[in-house]
Amino acid sequence: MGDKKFSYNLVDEPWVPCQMPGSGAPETLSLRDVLARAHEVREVSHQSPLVTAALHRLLLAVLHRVFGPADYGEWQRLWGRGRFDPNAVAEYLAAWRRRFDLFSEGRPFYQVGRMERAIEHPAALLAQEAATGNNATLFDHSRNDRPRLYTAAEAARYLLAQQAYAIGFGKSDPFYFRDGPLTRGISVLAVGRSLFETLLLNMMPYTSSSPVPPQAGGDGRGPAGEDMPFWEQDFPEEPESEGSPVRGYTDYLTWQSRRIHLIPEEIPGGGLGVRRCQLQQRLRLPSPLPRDPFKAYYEPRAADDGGAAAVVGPLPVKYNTARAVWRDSHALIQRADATRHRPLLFDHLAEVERARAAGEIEAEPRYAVAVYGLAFDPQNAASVLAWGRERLPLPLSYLRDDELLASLGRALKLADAGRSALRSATLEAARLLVSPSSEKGGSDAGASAKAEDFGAESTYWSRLETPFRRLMSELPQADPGEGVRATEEGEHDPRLSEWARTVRVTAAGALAETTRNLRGSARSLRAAAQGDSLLRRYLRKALADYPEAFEAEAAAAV
Amino acid sequence: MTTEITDRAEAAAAAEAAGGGKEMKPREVAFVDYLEALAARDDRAALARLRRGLGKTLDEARETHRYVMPWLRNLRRKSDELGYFTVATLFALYPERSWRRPEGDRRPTNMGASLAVLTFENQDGSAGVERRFNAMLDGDREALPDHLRYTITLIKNAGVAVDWERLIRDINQWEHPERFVQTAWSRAFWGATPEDFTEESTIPEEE
Repeated sequence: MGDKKFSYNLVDEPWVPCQMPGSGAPETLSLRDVLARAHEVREVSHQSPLVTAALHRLLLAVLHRVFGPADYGEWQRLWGRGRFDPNAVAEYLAAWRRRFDLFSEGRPFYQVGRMERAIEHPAALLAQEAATGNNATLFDHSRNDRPRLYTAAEAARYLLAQQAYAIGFGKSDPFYFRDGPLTRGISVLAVGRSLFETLLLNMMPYTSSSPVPPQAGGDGRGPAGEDMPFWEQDFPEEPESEGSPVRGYTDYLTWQSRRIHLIPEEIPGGGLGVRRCQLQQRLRLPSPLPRDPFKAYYEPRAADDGGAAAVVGPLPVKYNTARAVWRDSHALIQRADATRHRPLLFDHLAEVERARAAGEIEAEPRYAVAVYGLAFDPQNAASVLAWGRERLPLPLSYLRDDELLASLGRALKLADAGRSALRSATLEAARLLVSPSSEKGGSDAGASAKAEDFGAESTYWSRLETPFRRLMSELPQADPGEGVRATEEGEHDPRLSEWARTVRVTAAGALAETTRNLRGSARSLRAAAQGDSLLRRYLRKALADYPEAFEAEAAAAV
Repeated sequence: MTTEITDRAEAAAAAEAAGGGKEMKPREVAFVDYLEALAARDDRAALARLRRGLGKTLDEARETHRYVMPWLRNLRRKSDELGYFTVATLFALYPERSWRRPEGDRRPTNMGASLAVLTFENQDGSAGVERRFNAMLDGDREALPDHLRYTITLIKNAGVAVDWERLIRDINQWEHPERFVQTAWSRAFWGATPEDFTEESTIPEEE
């Protein structure tokens, strides 16, 4: 250190990890190149979903400032060009280049200058959550002597993730750590066939009031000026314990949750790296939290909070790692009802689909949606259990066609009915194992635990996933224009019939797999046999509307 | 009246015929056909001699040898003798035609199924039957003949059908590590629903 001036400018240096189309090797591109070549890049992706999500938000913030678009007309023109105008991008980034230097002394990118009274942590602190989704060793200083060296590129990536996903916990200066914009709830991102498509699909019309309007801070003070991303702000907000004002969308996208300072050093052999950093609280989001266009929300019931701090406004739908996202796909996609709000992004995608169906643009009828989230310990809002990332195929017609979506909803209901049947049968089998002679109601706790151990339910869900994705892709394919889609009165869509059969077979298989090991003693054999028999009975009831699910296969022999 | 030699010759001829020639039946099927033939022509001496094998081992039950031994030639596993011998003695106790279901009806016919029918038709004694069934499932192969003797007696009194062919195989497979015989019997016994007891079933039982 000393007098040495370090410089690593994200506009020019290659640091954005990209997957290329075909079997091309991954490349790392500079900020300028990744946007100029977005149509040639398959996608931006990092092994940490937190980094991936945060990277996209940065790219979106830049693009919105360069291109708008102010309305759908402009959006369609951008889409039609097939690539981002490299000159416009270069010009913008050249104008703000000085704010993109990771190690600049005055305004290091997404950081603050060196802080006088803040201790130095290993840089691994930034990478920890992003890498493992686990913050258990957040403040572990035991391995301080020679912490790991990260390259500048790696440090930049984790820096972004930290600002977006900061977790509110613990003492800091000038006030306790607070959550970042993406910390709570699931967030979604549309995925196109190239990075260009992906970015545009996620670019909603951008104005001074949408998709995120200006918002006053906790003390009632309004924003200092119009919306702009962090790097454009000559006088960024000072931390305010009640919450800072939000200027607008790009301010929100580039929200500085933390004051971070990366301490650079030279890597022997060339290049710059980071081994230590400083980390403090910075901006707290105001209350009520701005509505993130990539998140789903729900209205908490009045009774939910049990009298704790008054809950203001809709809350982000939580990420639940025990429950794969496809199971909630219907809820996620459906248009607002009294209790749920789908991500604003989906309304945008519905408009894209409308334009496509009307022949105004060329696009695919289906894209994919990536869903990200952190799952927290329900007993400890600061403890991250895991992060998750899933991808759902999304035929866009689901976003506009309520009837189609209703079919999907029916399919999910059938799946839930199958699961109830399985659960009941498993519980009975467990009861017979635990206390075979007692009447129903005896030793329920032991039986529940035993049933849990069987793992039949998780087998069931994991086996149902692939057929469901297939169904989700296939349901929209009966185009109303091509003859009768809805079959005759009383007849079922054959794909739903097939789905009902799949549910039955999967439930039976999941139980059979579990009970296969129950054969050591007469008691086990009995539990298994009765479990199977009960399941058959429960499934007949659960799938009563689809008796065709029980027709034996013609060639079932053996 | 036949002699030991003629009985043995007859058994040997039947065994021979089944094993070779155009009508290649599984050994246990042919054996049960042979036993049924003895019953059909009312060969009381044969049945009496076979019955005297109850409670004894094959080696001890010399009177049964003329009927059984010719069938045990070239058995893949010597221990399989137990299945044939046991069923021969039990059949003699209850010489009924082996239970066969119509084509396409795949409901089970194993001992578990027979006992299920028994308890269905005779609710009073079902606890005792279940206890005995439990003991059978928990026991090893050597204990089977005694258990089966008890249950066949009950089955005989109730006139319930028995799949003898299946029983031979099941006894011989009893010690398989996968315990699939025990599993199949349990499924049939405890997994039975009322429609399993109708003569015809419009909905074939799926596996």
